Amino acid sequence: MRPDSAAHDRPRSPFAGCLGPAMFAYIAWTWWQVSRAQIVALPSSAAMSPGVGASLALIARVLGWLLETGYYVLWWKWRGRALPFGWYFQWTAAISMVDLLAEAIRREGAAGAWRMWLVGAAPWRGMEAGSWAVALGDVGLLALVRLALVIQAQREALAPIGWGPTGIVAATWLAGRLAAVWTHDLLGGARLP
Amino acid sequence: MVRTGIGWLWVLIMASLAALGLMWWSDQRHDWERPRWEPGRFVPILTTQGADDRPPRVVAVQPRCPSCLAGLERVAANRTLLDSRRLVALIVDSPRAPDSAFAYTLAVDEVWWDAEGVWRRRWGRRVYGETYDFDRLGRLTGSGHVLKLVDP
Repeated sequence: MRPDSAAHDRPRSPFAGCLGPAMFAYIAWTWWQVSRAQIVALPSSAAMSPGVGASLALIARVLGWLLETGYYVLWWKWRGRALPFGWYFQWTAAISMVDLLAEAIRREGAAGAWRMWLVGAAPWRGMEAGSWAVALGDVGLLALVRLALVIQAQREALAPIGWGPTGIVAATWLAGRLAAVWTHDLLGGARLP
Repeated sequence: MVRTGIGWLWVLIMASLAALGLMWWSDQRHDWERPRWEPGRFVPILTTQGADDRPPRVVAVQPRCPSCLAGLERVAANRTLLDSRRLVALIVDSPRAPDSAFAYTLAVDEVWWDAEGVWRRRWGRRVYGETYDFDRLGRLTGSGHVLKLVDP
């Protein structure tokens, strides 16, 4: 049952064959809709039409995926391993479907213990939530699933490999959260009553 | 050669993270003033005719911030004569004094200009549209944001 060596050398794409373009178009469209709904829900959104804002948000998101892909590709290149850029970019975009699921659960509304376990407690707290709540409030089961998928994608492309992907992904995630806390505090200023 | 370049890139990323942490640490240790309403520190642009001894609710307004201007407009439009606070716009981060025509368009009780940068440099505030409730003695009693302001 073991695949032949040529197929084994080539890591799997997230979506098989002609399903790929359709799935990526669907992911992009869904993110566009999510961003548009978020803009419409803002108290003041007169500066820009929601459609234009959502398009810019989608461009920013794709740039973020490119940046994330480049970050890991360069890390592994530095470590003497090759992580294919285009292939990993596809996985980065595909894994964002977990974020879409989390977003859908958050938007679903009322708080419930199971929802908090899935997507964290932050969505049901107010704007006044502290910086640690901002940084860690969206940590739930889906955030862990997302991290596991990122690690698994790297493990698949770099196999055989030990704990390296787990280490760099976890360290990057923690550094990102720390940076989020610091940035939140710096932008928000000192705490007030 | 390429690996050396990438190595330097990692050094840059780590240095940026460390710099951010250092900025945060320095900011946390800074002894910011607790906001206090002392009109003598600001320049009056539009003030109340006659005595209005209601305690002020001050909104930090940057003239080029459309969301905080829209929020202030909404709050001002929803006010009633029975409001327990006078609504004050404090123009911040503006190198030039706002003209009186602009001040009138805000439709608030008073407009003051923070010419000395007290809001940012002394109070350590950074969010446009923040609101500060002071008592009659100018002491801070509460804070919020104009976009979240439900109770005028």
